[in-house]
Amino acid sequence: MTQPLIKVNLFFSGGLEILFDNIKQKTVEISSSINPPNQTKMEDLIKWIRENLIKTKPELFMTGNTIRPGILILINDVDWEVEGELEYTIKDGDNIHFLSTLHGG
Amino acid sequence: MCSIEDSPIIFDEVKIKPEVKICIKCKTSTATILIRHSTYCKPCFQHVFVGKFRKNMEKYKTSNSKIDEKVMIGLSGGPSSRAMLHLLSEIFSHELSKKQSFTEVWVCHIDENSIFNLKDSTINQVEQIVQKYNSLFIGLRIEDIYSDEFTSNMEFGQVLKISIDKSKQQEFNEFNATIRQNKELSNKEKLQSLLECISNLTSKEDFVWYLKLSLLIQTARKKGCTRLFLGDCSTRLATKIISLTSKGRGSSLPIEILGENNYFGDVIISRPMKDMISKEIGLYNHYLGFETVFIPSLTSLQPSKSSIERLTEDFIVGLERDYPSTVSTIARTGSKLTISNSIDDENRCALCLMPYRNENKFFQNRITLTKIPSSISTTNDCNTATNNCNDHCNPVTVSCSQSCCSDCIKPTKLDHQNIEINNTLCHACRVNMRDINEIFLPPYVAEEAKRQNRRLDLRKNIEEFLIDDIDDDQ
Repeated sequence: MTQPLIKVNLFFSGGLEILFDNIKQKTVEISSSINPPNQTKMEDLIKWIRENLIKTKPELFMTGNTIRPGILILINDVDWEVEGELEYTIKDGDNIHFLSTLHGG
Repeated sequence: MCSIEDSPIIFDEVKIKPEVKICIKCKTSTATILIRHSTYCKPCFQHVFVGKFRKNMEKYKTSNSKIDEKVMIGLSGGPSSRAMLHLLSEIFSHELSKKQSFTEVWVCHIDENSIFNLKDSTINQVEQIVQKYNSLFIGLRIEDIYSDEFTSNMEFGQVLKISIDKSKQQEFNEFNATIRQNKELSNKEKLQSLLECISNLTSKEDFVWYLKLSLLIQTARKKGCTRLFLGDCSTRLATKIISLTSKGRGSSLPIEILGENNYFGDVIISRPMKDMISKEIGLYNHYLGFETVFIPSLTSLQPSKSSIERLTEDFIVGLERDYPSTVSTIARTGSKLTISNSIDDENRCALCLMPYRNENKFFQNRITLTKIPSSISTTNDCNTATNNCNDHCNPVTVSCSQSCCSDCIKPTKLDHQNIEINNTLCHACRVNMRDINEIFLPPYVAEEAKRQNRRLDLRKNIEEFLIDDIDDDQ
């Protein structure tokens, strides 16, 4: 059985866009369960971005299995640290902002 | 030894995840933001953020603010200075309605794109942002530091050419500097050749930053501004505290991190963003919908070990994630530092403007274990040490009036004049000189070096008539 797809709006800013060919906004469709039987979580989404969207230097986006320190994530304008970080379950239509606060992006 | 594998275990134990997602301030709304260990809702977060800024501004007002002050805002266009511009403008417009304490507000942006040889200038982008506020705008390029305008007397059109003398390779800290009138190269080419000749990124970053700082201070002076606002946030300051210490700039550390200092005399440097971490600023800009300009840095897209500053930033930001009080602890500890009383006001590094100690040459020899021979070969062109300073060059001084200077400099056909720059650099700048091959330093460096040399000469001449301070103390 194929899993239904969910739409997610991704935003990259603060210099992070240079890792994505200067694309600041992208709507993607991903499986609602990248890692069955579990539903797609933030952890899966970050890995998916690294494998599918990043054009250069993935190590500047991720360290270990999480996001690189200094990059803020906002899920529908809410700090992801409030939403449970990697454990957050992605929902259809989520707006997810990736914002680098590092010097020089 | 700690290893990377260990950290996740500690991570789980230490990190306190808030159970209740209610704003700790209003205690009614659902929290959307986590700053350090506290949860906030959006309105409360903004309130706290603006409050912190106002508190810092109040401090400046009570300390040494003058009435009818002209001020300058240093705006790179990055998140921190962008937020600062907005916050300051709010305060200024609020003050205007009460009583005018800031008569003129300049916003100065320095475009660094020529470092990366990018065609687009950031000036236009930044100017568009500034237009929304009621401020005067001045857009400069980093290479403008090579133009004569940015020296104390605005006429000193000479650059310093520095080359490491091959014959003295064992003693790396002996280098020649030649003052010359260099008109063949454009300012941009001079800057690019300067950066090309610096072999490591740490020194390069240092150079760029001090050129920028000099340019900002000179511009503020030119416009008659008595206060310069810089947008260093506490994450940045914490990084600076560690990286400057490791670069050997401990003595000038307070000047570069204090919330307010008047080391530069006529221009007071204020850092009203010093209590905000970069996460707060990022969120604030995001919520207010502020577009920031992306300013590439020399270490953009580089691995974390590419420069000391970059490595420090990675280290601190990495620690901050697992231990959210790292930045504020470092920044607050650093802010307790004060500028040493033993600093001689006259001893200012010609390059970075920061204080240096007397006899810094001997100090360096004492603390340096290895003398690093310069592996870089020097191109042997026209600047040989034979072109010594001729007598008729002497009237060129800084202290004389502008008309006099233009009279003596302009007709001077002497392009080359050897100058002792060794004694007029601070420890860290001398260390940086190890990484260079042959560079052109901007006129302000030449001017300052010359001024200091004159002072030293003068002192030497009258030395026997002076009563020694040390004897006096004893």
